[in-house]
Amino acid sequence: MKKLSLFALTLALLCAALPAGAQETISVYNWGDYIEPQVLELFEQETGIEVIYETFETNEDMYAKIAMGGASYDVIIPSDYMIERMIQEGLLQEINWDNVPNVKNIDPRFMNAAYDPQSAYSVPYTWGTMGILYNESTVVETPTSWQTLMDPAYTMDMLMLNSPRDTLGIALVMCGHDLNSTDPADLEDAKNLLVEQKPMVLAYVVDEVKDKMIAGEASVALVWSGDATYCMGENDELNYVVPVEGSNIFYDSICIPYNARNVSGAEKFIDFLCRADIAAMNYEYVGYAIPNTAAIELLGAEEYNASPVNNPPQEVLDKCEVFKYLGDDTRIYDQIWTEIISEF
Amino acid sequence: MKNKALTVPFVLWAAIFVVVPLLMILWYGVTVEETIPYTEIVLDDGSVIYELEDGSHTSEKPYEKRARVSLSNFKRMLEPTYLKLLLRSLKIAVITTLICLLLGYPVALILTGRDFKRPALWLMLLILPMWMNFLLRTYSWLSILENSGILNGLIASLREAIPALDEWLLARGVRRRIVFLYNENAVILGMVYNYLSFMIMPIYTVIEKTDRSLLEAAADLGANPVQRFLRVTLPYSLPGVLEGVTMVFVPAVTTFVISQLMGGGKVPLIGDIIQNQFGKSSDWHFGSTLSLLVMVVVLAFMGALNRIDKEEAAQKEVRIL
Repeated sequence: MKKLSLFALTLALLCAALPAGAQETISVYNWGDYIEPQVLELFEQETGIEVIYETFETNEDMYAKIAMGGASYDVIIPSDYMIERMIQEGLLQEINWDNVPNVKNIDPRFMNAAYDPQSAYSVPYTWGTMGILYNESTVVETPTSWQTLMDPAYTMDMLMLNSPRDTLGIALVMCGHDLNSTDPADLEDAKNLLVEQKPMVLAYVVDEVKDKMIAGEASVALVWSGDATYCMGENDELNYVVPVEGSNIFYDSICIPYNARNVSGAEKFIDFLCRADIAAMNYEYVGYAIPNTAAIELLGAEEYNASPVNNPPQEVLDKCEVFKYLGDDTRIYDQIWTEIISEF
Repeated sequence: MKNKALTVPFVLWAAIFVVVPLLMILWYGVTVEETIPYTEIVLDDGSVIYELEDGSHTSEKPYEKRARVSLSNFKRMLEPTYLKLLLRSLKIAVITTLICLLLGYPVALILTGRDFKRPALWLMLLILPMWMNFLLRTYSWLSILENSGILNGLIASLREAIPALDEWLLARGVRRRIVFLYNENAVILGMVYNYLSFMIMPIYTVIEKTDRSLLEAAADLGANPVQRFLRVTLPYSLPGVLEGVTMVFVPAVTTFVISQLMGGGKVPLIGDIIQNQFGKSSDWHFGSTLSLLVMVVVLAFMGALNRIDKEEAAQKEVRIL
């Protein structure tokens, strides 16, 4: 038995060592459909480092894999609240900015965000907001405020997100509370608002929101800006607004996990992603707003900024907040959300 | 001995993919996850340290989680919110099963009828859609029933063509766009459509296998068609009915996709809430507790059916004797 396991160990070590000896590699773990495939090819051509590319569907999936320690990645791209959690739990390592000179391309507005206040562990890759997607031809008036989602004119004509954190977060903003509040009284207000709103809601959806809005199923919908970009590309009558009261702003940022094997390769990759031409290429494929000033110039700032998704007014953006990692309090949100949707 | 060796792969398979996961669900179900408790101590110089339960100190805020055996999730499960959801799931599953039975039994009967030509072809046509992924089939119902869907489109063009009809309907308060989806009935429709063939197949198989000479003998002895159905066909088809009922009821009580798509998230079932626990809310412990609850309900239901089946089998023997 002992011999057998020794043999297995040797074999495993050999397998691990062989490709590394032959060629330098980095392994990248990213959201599905979240990079221009050509970018990876270009990186391999320019640096000779082979990219082993894997994708995940939710932050939680990615977290479970890293936290269990079973897999080792060199570059990962989680969202803000997850980065905050991973920093807390010691799962990320600080990035040596000397080796990532292209970080100068990143708009300072998007650095030092609440989830990584010193910008020590992450560099933003894309960002987005939550807002209202509306159909110009069927809305009573152009929405500017979250109150649109409480307007009886849209009874059975609005879609909400079937997602506790997002929908409750917006309800908190509508009540004038903090987006990340865990105060039971605040959450009670938000709950009452959503219960009052429920008879007006056509459906609570997630991915289906895209098909439904494109088909004209409803006049207004609570959406993430990424989905809004897609819908507006498919249906000219759709438009997007981040309401004046402020909203959620989210980032997906590039990080290096604590157990990365090829840190210098990872830094080269991050630097590559921050390069203006590469970020521009990525933007055209992925469609999310980018924090890369040099890339935006390359794309044509005027055209880029014409989109309400890419360029909400600064005073609105100032009121936008990131979701914080809530830890055990996530449970309270789930409980309240279940109470809202099971109200019948 | 030789036969025993053949069962090893099966036993292994069952152990790894049935017993172990069940035990894991049980373990998750009776535990909760919590951050290791600590007290914050502010030192004289303003810095903060944390004292753990065992009296040790650390300067880093503790984040590690641990599982603790606790029945608190069972208590939470018994809150009205969740019981209400369970009851609704049961209600919808029962209605779905009854509709499937009312539709499926006659279909099976017609298909096995002696005068019916080419039953195999018709059976094939019934089963064929089931080879497609059920998500795809449910999405097609969305395209039919949506506000912007095919049916509403047809109605709209009809109303446009016949203004009198339009006025008549408007006077009766029927809106131009009728909302068919996003309610309980839509969810039931989705379930009946998806599960109907699970009812037809077992009933068909059992009736098909019933010895026809029994029916002929009954006819010879002067039984009219109604009597023959009630005294021969129905009792003999009962095992098929019970199997069909199980095959419809069990998935209906646990589904979450159909209720999300057809109900638009407005008709959550217990399955949706379990799915949330494993997804968005990432509380596997509570999700497992709810799964245990559903498992108990399903087991109780199957146990009851089993009893009916056994009693019926005993009676049948008496009848034949």
